[in-house]
Amino acid sequence: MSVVRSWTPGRLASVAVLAAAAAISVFPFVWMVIGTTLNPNDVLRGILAPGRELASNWEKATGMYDLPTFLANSLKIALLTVALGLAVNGLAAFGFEKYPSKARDRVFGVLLLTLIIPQIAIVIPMFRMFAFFKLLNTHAAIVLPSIMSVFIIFFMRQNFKMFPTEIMEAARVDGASELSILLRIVLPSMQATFASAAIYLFLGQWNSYLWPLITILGDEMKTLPIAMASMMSAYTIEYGALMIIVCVSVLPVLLLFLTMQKQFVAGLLGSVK
Amino acid sequence: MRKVPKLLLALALALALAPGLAAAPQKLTVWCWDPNFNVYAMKEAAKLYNKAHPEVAVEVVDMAQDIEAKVISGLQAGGAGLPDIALFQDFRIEQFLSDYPKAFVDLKAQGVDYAKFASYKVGPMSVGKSVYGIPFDTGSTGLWLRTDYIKAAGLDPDAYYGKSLKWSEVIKLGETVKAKTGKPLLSYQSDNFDMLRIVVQSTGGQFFNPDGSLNLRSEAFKKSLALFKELNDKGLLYQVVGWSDWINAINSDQAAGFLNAIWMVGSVKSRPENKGKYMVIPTPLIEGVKGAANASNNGGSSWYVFSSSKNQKLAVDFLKSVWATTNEGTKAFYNEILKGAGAMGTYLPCQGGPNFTANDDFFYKSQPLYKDFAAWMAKVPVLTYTPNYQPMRDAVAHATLNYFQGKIKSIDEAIAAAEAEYKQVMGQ
Repeated sequence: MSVVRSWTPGRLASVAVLAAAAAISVFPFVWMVIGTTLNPNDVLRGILAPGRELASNWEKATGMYDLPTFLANSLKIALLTVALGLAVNGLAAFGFEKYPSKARDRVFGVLLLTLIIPQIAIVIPMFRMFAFFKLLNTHAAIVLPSIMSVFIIFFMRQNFKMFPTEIMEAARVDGASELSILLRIVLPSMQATFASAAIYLFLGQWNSYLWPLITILGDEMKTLPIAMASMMSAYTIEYGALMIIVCVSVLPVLLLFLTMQKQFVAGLLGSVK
Repeated sequence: MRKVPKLLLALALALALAPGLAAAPQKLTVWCWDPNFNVYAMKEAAKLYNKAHPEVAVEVVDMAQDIEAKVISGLQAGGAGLPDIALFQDFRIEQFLSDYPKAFVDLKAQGVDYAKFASYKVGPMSVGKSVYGIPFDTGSTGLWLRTDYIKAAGLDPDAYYGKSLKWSEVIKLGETVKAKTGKPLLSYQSDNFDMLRIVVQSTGGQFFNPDGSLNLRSEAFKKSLALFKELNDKGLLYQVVGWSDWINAINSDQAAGFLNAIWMVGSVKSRPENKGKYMVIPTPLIEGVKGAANASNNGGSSWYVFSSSKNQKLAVDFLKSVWATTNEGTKAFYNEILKGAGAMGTYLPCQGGPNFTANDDFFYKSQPLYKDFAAWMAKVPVLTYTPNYQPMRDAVAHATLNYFQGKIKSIDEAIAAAEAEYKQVMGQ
């Protein structure tokens, strides 16, 4: 049964606004893709017709950089961060929310306070720490500090609040252990929360620049943002080749978001199935 | 509390992920940026060194220009993670030499003959009797002019080709070109300090006194600023904001030229339509300033050896025998990197190769561009940057912009505004 809605002025206006918003958000991507086919000058000139430089840009980008390695490095680091981050932050948030104690809110308050410390302020102490652990120039140095995220703990805790404690108590009465309550009862109904936390962790790590820049010391360890930055500091910037690297780096994020869009939005709304 | 699990995890992950940091005894690590320029040049240098020392592996790591952030972290951690050799921009190094006096190896004490390098490169890397770097590329400047617009204005480009002009002559040229073709003379990045710096350096003037205090009230600086105001008021500047827009202005025919360094060759050549149109003449002269020259500089970097390097001797020997020695091999090397990357070294004895003197048919009358830039390079006056170059640069750029826009009425007020901002930033 199809319903043909009438084009009321209100509906027309909303379609127009949405179309404009869509155009504004899609335009940079279109430009990016077209940029891969242009020579550097035409990229800067803002030409929007595809050119013929794709092959030469590709050659420049892949000739200068070991793109597959950088992509693999970026993926490995981001996925490890997501996996470990979900486990650590998920457990922490669950504990903070469902196991009341006197110290709980004070500890949580202290954790929240650390949100106001900017990363740049702790870069040098962290660098010394990792130098002491002999972990410089390793991917561990990039993954480890990003696992625990106060923001993610806070975000997940807010969502755990909506999970009825009565269900947990019922499970306890039925003889379920605390871990199996989390894994078999809470987790399955909180997939959306975990999905959006995963996207947050992934994006944060995928885009991270300063810390990898400082701890990565060799070419074979580099991530994509570091390669892009190195391209931007040349006397003659190859914008076309740069656009290729940007495309490569946007692709995984785009795929991730498109496949998990539903969960992401649901997670933001804080729904419990 | 939080540290404990992190530590355990750190250990666990270290086992899983760490590839190990141990370096082979005969290995040198070099940090620099720009794969087509610095990295390429250093790899060529390694090739030459390997002919006599095949056992030494030189690893050239391509870092973003934010290399400084890494180096600061490494120096703070007592040399952890630092390479043997790194590239620094000339305007940044004085800050490092003053903040970390023991971080770099004194190469003068190691026998490098600095009289053979362009003197303006040696100034910034010298502290007292010590000299710390091996000068690399030049940012020798010139006035890039579009001969097609000069012709369109009814003038003969040959009347200017190869001539050392005064700014008054350039302004006259600009006015004619503007009147006849409507094109402003110069593309100018209004949020950027580069062009003003080029002019001030050409006068032999300094932004700072020998004691490190700000020196914006010199005749040289006032005349430079007055020149800019005149160019601006006569409509001879095509103003844009941002580097990309500046490059775009040049490559989309918005003006009849620009004032910048040798390394613009790449951007100019990247557009085939520019072929045959450009000529480069010496940096124009500011009249009435003693010590002013038809030469200046913008940009350029140099190599430094860290004191924390375990292969210090080897690193010094590598730099010295490739970058600061005159023989057939090094001459061929300097000649090769000029062709391969457009990288012109500043080691004067090795500037005679065929690529230095070759005619370049991309330019008007096949101008031997590199030969000209090399000749101007030797005349560039020394500019002292001091550790406070960047705050000064920003303060002056802001004041200049406000002066152009009429928010500041006179040169003296502009200077006072720059001084006030500098003092505020420096907490003086």
